[in-house]
Amino acid sequence: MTLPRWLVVVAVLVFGFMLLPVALVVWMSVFDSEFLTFPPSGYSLRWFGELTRERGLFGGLRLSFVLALSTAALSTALGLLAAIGLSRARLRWRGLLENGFLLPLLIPAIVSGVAVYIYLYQLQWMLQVRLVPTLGALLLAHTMITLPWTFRLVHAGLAGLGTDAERASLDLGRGPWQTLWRVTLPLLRPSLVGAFIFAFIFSFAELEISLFLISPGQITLPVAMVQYAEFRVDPTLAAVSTVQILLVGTLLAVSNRFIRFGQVLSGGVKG
Amino acid sequence: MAQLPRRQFLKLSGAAGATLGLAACGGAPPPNPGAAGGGGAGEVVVGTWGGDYQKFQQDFVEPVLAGTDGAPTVVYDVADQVARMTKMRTQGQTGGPGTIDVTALSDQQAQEMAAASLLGKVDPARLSNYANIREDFRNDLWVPHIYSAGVIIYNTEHVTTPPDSYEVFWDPAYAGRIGIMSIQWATEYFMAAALEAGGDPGNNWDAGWQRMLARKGTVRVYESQEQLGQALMSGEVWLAYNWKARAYQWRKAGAPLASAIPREGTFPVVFTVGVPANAPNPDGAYAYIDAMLDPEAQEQFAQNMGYWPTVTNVDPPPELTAEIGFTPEEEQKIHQVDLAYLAQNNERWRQQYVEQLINQ
Amino acid sequence: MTLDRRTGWLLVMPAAVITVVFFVAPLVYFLRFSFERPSRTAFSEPVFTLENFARFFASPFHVGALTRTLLVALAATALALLLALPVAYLITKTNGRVKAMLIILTVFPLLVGNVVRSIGWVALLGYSGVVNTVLTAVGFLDGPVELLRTATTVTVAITSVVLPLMVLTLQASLESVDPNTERAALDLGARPLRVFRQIVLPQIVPGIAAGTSLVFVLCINAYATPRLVGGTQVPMLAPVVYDTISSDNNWPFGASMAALMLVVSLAVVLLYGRLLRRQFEGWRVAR
Repeated sequence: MTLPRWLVVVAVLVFGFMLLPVALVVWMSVFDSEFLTFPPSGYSLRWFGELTRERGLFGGLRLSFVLALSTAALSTALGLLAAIGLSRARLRWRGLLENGFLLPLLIPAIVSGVAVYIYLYQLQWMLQVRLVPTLGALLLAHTMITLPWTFRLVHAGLAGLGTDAERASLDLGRGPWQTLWRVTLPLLRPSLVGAFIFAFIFSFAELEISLFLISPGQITLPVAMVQYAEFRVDPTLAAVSTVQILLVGTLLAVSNRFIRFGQVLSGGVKG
Repeated sequence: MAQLPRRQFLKLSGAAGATLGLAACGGAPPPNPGAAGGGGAGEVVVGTWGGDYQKFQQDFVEPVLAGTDGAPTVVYDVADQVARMTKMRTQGQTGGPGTIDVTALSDQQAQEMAAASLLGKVDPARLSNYANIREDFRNDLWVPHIYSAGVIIYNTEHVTTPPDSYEVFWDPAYAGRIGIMSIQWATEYFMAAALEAGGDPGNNWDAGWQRMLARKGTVRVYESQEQLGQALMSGEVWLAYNWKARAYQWRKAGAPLASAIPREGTFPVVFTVGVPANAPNPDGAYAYIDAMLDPEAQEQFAQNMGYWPTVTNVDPPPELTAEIGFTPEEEQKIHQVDLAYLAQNNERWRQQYVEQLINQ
Repeated sequence: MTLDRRTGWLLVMPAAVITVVFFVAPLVYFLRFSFERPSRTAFSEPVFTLENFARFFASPFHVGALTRTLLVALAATALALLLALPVAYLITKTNGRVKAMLIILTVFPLLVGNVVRSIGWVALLGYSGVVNTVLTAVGFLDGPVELLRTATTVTVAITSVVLPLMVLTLQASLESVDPNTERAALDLGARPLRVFRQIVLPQIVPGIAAGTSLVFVLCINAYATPRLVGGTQVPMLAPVVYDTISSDNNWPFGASMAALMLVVSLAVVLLYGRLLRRQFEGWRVAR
């Protein structure tokens, strides 16, 4: 079906609007002067060079990356399990659980961060087991904050799937777990890939909860950036952002080879 | 109906439980109530601001510390001051050893922490550099590190006569060219009250409220130091009240700015360090703080960050004094503030300021 | 395929445990502050009182912040929905490499951290920013105009933050629309716009409902964007809560506002959930 011209134009304009901040950030990262003036007094790559001296920012980039990957994996897996459990088993309080998984989104992260820290610290005192600040707690907190998205996405995917394919597989003699593994999961690939990406992004960008749960000696990139900005306002932050965007962009482009977003995310029934 | 075979059920629940259990543990031993040195005897945890401050701590303070006997390893707990204060409050309320040995706070925040009994008393005997701390900054509950004072910052291209009074902020010629930060409401009260009093306003900062109202609409409000700096840099505003250290940083970045202390006087901002009452390694904490007071470290901080040393045995070059320091005459005009008075009125002032002044 | 209850619970358990331990319990623990009295030295004084809520509703500033937050969230969500539909539809109609590239491009804006993004907004809309400089140079304006620190700018800024999310959720929903239904309608002579309105749109109503309710909630809870773009002159709830807790050290009052935000968000989600189920069931039966 050919698309009406006006639709393409509008879509391109909206894309432009969405990408405006990205373009601005990349543009700012090559400004010469410390402060922003328009038009810029000159261009230079020196902020990228100076980045190598910023141990905090680099350490943050590394931890954020690893943490985001781990969170995405854990969150997608748990979201998948929960979605399967809720949509394929007739549980009591199903409605409560479905909405319950959305709860973390209903509170500003600044409140959740504080609340989680206070609670875990008191819990740790009661249980006499070190809970905060630990890497494990940080990972689980990130998982908690991304679960609403992964759960929702996979749950919606399952709902849209319908049970026909599964029923057919069962009728043909496969066991339920084989069916799940061989039939449902592959059909769910779009939702799983989407869930993974969402979880990765939200974990990477998470600031307020990480602020409380990072252990001494550790730091995530968003925290490092905010603390950097306390003292300096130069394009270094724009440079870090550009590096981050390039890094994740490259990752997505590379994984496109294996996952083929174009095909995978075109899930559903296609004629 | 699909039944999960019992064996698989048990395996899965075991795996799930183990995963969660493992993930929740951090590897460090559980905190023992009453045990000293929970963080490992050779480690000192320094709660810090991060960014440049931490960089200079690592570059200038750690070498001094490393030169002493039995020096602990340093680990930094980076967060903004709100998060760090909340952590201290939580740890204080729960009991048992905390997680931070040295905490860096502004003087106002240190006052708050002290009022909540979260800071341990400073033991001068454990600080070899204690005698060098300036008399007027010495305190029972925290150790001053660096300081600056509020000054009138002005754009030399537009404000041709150096201002010598806070009146300049009410000058109709500069209406719309004055910048203030929403986070510095207390200094607004101070300035107006100082004008009313013709000098040190003492403990009556409400005296200038009517004057403050008269300023409504003539000032531009910014949310952060960065935004204000940007505005001064671009010429959007020509006048602001801020720390001399900030003026120094912005001037270094190329802005045509100068600073002046008005005749009504001003007050200092002191960045301090304290030892939380439940610090796991107080010995390490004192060793670190001693290193922060080292004259070499203090001078390097001054050079690089623009804040002035709080110790007396530093001899900075005269150019630096002109840039970020204070001459004896200027020191006369810097009045200490009653931090307890500030703490008492802060909430009311902020509410009043935000509700009636900023939001017309 | 149905699983038995025990299996179902087992599958749900890990995610549920994490949500309870890392969110629900801490939140309940925190919200109890809202029923206690403020204290200078501790988080709160453990006395039961409703004065925090009374104070909130008696203060025009705070009620104004609540109203403003709701209106801005509504406007931003509506705007995001309007702008996201053409983009999501376009992505659905592409394939392979192009589709992958478009999706990656949609993800990019989410990677720009809030700190830097706000610097970008100042660079764009600030006094000496791009818009002012260009418009003044062109002669459209006599001099720079204050663009930041208005509710409109905050709305636009929040829209730009949530737009990629709206696009991705709409796209996921659009993908499951059977193109045969569209093809059939076109074959029967309907014009593309009508096809969209009468064939595609009804099929994605559940997806729209789900997406918009989540985005709306996100807009209500927005913190960094309103703080940095609107500042103290456009008070919205999340920054007000934060200031109350951090600057005033008034945990009970802050917690009471957080409780109110939770109630509002919960109401929206539950309402939509109910709507969604009813609609979706109806549509599935018809199918």
